[in-house]
Amino acid sequence: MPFAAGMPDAMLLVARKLSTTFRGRGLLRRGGDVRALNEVSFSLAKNQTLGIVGESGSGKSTLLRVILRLTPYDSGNVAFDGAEVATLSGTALKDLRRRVQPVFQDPYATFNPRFSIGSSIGLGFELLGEHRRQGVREEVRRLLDDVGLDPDLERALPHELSGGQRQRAAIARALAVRPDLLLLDEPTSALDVSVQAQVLNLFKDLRRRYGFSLILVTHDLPVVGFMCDHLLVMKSGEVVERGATATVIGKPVSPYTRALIDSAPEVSGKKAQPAERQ
Amino acid sequence: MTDSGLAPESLLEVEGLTIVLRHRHRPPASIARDVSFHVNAGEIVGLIGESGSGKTMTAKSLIGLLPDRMDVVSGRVRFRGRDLLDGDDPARVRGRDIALIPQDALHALNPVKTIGWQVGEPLQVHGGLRRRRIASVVGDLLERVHIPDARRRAVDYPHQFSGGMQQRALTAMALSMEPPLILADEPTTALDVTIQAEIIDLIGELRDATGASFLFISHDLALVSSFCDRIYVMYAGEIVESGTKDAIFSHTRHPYTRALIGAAPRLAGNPERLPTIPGRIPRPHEEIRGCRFRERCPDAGTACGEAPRLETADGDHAVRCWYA
Repeated sequence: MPFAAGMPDAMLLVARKLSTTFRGRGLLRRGGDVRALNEVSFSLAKNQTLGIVGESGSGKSTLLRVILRLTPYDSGNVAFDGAEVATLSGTALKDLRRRVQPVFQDPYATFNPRFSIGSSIGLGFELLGEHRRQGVREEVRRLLDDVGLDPDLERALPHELSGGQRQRAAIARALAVRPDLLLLDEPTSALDVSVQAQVLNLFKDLRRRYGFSLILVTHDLPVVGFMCDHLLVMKSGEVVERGATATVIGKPVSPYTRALIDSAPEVSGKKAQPAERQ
Repeated sequence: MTDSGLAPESLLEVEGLTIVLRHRHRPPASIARDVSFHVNAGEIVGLIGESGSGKTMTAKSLIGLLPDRMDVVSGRVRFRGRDLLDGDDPARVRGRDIALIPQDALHALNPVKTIGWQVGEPLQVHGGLRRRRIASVVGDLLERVHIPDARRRAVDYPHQFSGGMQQRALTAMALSMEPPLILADEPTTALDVTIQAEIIDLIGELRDATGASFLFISHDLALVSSFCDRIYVMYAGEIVESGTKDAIFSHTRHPYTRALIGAAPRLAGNPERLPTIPGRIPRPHEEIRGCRFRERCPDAGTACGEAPRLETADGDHAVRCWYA
């Protein structure tokens, strides 16, 4: 029975017992194998926002790469809109690449340094098969305006923008192809608090206008508290806790989640507590 | 405390410090303007501000680490009653009297020298200790910052240490000459939250054990709010508010500080939209008449055309605003 059958169609992304292993490298395989994901299961409904938190090495970025089909997986399934990601090819794969758009922590790496911001964003429209030059330019300017940038910045080169402006441009680039799912990997970690607030508000506004679902990977629990209805806590490649954000933060079950919450500083003046070493 | 920073226990006193960036085609731009603050013995003081606020350059000027094109043009820095800006070579102060824990641990460490060698280098330069004695002190230092199996790990190279352990090693290096003052420049920015909490805890522990003072430089209001005794908030090169942790967070007076606190998301009970600050921080070369926050300020009024001074409101709480 194909995995996708019988799935409620409101589910956009379903992962079931997803596992992947990085083989040890080098002649002697001294590193040994690393289980990067171990039987990870979760689902994301259409229009939902899911936060994935965990520390370095918890597998959260690997999970994003698997969803984007940039990293293969060994066992389990991940289905996007009912279709198994691993088996996609041809136009179906191209379609996945369009419908799922990543935004990374360092937007500088997202842009070709020699292309103007406008032409980088315009490439997205070419992907959609919309080649009419004048139309593309108008769309680019409208998108820049939507993300709160001066449309005249279409002519700017990436290095001429500030960090916050560059992140907005990266969001415009992702939205150009009208994705159904945005994967955000630490999108505001490099930004100042006041700029972070602007960008987080922008995500909320754009979601209302464009109606995409969102997965936000971060180590910053308060950001998830503000942005996401659901929360997945990962450690060493495994899901240690998941549920509605308010419930998980209010009544964490796993000691690891409790440790993450205790270590997260808040402006209230709460003392960050180091976790017990295990 | 009711004094203006001249208490007998005052370790570092900075008065009217102004730093400019020289420019070939433009008049010099001010990076820090008339910055005054003090650090008492055994205190952890936070210097916070966003990018471009001048916090890092203010700290670097204390130990003579300003970039070539920047100069201190006025002001006085007194450390234990000694004037640091004229006379003394900053390199003699650096490491021995005032140490720095830098931001990016991996880049701050030399990849081809062992951790032990690097932690012991200040002892060699300033202390003139014998080799064997240095090795033993280094072992003690690494133990003090809780490197597991410290004596054996001293021969490891930086890449064999995790990010948190590298930051601990740099902290050990800063401690090596038992300096009375340690500048910590965003020492936890690159670390995971649980590791960050450990480093913060370590700083508190070291202060209690050694009596050293810390000047903690950060953009992270939430972090600073958790453990600093007193806090200075910088905006566009100026200190806009200062006071005890409690004064800054529970009796906030400056509109910028209030906006920063509001802009940070919380674990729970967030509003639908985060309050934001319109506009952007002025560039150093932009000449602004009156209050530097005026253009972005929700409370701005007619008085703001004239630059406000940092006025002490009550006790140790000072604010640079006509309407606070």
